[in-house]
Amino acid sequence: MAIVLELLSRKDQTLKYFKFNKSEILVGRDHHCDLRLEDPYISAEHVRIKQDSEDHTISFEDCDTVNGTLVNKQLLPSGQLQGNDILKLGRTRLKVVNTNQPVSAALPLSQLEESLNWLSHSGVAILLTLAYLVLSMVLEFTNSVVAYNVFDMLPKEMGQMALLSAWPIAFAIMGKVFNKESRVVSQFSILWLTLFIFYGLYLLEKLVSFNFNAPEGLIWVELMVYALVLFACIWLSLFFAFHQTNKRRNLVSSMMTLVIVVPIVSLSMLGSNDFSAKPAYNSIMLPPIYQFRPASDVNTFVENSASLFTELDEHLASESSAQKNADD
Amino acid sequence: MRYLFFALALYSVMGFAQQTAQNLFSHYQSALYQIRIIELGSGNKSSIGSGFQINDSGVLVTNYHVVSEYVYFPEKYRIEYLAADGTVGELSLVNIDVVNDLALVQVQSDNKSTDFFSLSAQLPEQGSSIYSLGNPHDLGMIVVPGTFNGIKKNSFYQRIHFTGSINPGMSGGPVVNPEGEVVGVNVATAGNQIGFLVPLTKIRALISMNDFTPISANEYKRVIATQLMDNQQRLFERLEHEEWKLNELGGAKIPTLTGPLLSCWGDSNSADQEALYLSVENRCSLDEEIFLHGGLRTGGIEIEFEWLESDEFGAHRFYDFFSGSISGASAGNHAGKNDVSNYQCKQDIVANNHDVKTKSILCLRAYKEFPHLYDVLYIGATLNHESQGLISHFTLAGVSQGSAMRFTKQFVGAIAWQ
Repeated sequence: MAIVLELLSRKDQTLKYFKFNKSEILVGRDHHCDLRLEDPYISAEHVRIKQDSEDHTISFEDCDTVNGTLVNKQLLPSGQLQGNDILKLGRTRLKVVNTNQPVSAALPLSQLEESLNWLSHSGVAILLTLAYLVLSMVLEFTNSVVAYNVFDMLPKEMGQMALLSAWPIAFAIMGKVFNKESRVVSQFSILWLTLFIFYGLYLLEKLVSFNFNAPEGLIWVELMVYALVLFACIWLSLFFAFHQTNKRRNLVSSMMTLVIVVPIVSLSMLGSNDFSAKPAYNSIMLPPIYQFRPASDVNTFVENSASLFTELDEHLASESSAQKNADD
Repeated sequence: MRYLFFALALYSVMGFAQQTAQNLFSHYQSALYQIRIIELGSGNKSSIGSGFQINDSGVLVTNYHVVSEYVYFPEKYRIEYLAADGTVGELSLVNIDVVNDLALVQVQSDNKSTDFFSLSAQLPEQGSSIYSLGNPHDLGMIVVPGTFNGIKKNSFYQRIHFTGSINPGMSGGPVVNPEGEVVGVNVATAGNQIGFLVPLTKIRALISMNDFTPISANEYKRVIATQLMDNQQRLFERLEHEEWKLNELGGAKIPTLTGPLLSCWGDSNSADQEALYLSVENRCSLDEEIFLHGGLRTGGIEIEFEWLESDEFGAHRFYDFFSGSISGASAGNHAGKNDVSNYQCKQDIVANNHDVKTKSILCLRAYKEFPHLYDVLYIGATLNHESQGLISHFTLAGVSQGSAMRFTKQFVGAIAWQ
């Protein structure tokens, strides 16, 4: 049998493991102690921890120290210790580990980990970074109506990419802190891949809305798809940054997706029913090679618009009857 | 000697004008009124105008826009007059003509003045002296001598062009010939010495179709609706019967009106050396609108075309730019949320008989108080070419479904390629 102690951080994370193959240990600041702790609030000989040789129960005894010993926040001179009890000596916290209790089962190694190995190749990440730079330059180019100079635009695009880099860097730092491994290359690959998918979706949406006259349901489908891609991006970032169960990862990614999507949606819905002198319509036009929809003739278009007149009349009629009811 | 003669002639003309003005003023003072719109809450005047008496039963003519607040909110305002002798009294609304900006009001007092203006038998000749009477900026009644310069061209809503200054507050005052007979009513100004008057015929028409029985307050909106409906009917009949011809704009042919009904302006960016594209614009519009109240105008028409082309852009860049150029179109007339609904739009890809394929967007909003009248906005852009195209756009204010649909068909159907 052995006494096992864990040194805890302020946030209850295990910083160090100590295992003593002895039935009694002395904890303190003195050099002859079994466990020596550099904490000015700990006495030279602070606490004795003993294990009963028969029933293996663990007990402790404070050595009349200046600051005393707290067990689960209670100041006690001596007593029994259970597994998971936390001892506080000075400012240091130690957890007593119950060696009789089985540890939790091992997490199964994810197949995903293997299949996503290619994301961690720096070659891939550099290629994706460059490809994204080119893509954003091309986008900027098609959007410009003045003479375009690549070298004028380069600093602006790189600045934007630097801003975007905050995302993978944040995850890499968290990975480094909690997992001792940053996996920054994979994080960058995920970011650029996600942005590629977003842009592809944007192009697809343009194509669909142009050729199908911007149907009303499209915006919701679009929103769902964007939210899914965002979810996947967050999920993968978490996957590389932390070891956690799938259930927890799903939960955290869903929450983060909602936190990003909900404000965007509610901001865009805000005031959409307010009065405006500007009509809301879709102005996207695409060059002839992307035009798949056969054109209707002028008469059909104008006759079809008759429904707009009746819709407006009905809308006003229902509004004024609602007004009357409210007045009554 | 010649100079002296010229100077004498000038002096005599001025002297004559001065005399007429003095005579007119002293003679007709008692038939001139200041009209005040009194806000009931504060009991003070919220706007002023002028008016003149046209018969011995105390009926006055003024502008519709002078009394528009009362017409729209009869429960919040009342109309009051201030006569030349300083007496103040109530006025009741008899009838209105929103299209020509005229209104008839009647003095609600027993001692009505018996002086009144008579209407001239015909309009004077161009260049004749005429005199505008009114009370500018609440400064008291004045006479402004000026010149009759005929009926303004480019106008569907007829106006006399008066060279002389008309100022706020003079609206609704009479304009008379040297004999003191009314030839028009002050209505608007376009800056320095350019004034506009409602012509005689419109006043006569309003008076002749009335037996001066007042319309009741809850009928005002219905009367306006009928007048607007009839007016748009006349306007669109005239538009359809006018001669349209195809004019070149860039690589396209656009329908343009040959007559003077609309006034047109053009513009292009060809002087801009740095521009990577060519933009040529053609805009036509009806010069006047119908004033209904402070935040609502209607009866206007705007037609705009813009040709865009670029040798530099290539298809993708051009269409990005082209899409941006048709976004953000806005209503052509002022209207608030109590007046009209929000726009609703329909769009499609449409090809006409001239092989012009356009992305066409038609948007409408309905008038809340005037059933079956709409503001219509159309914007279309051609899709036939890789890096050139025509944007066609119009707004129609206060039109019926029939007029709107006929006009749209004609408009979209007429565009062609060169």
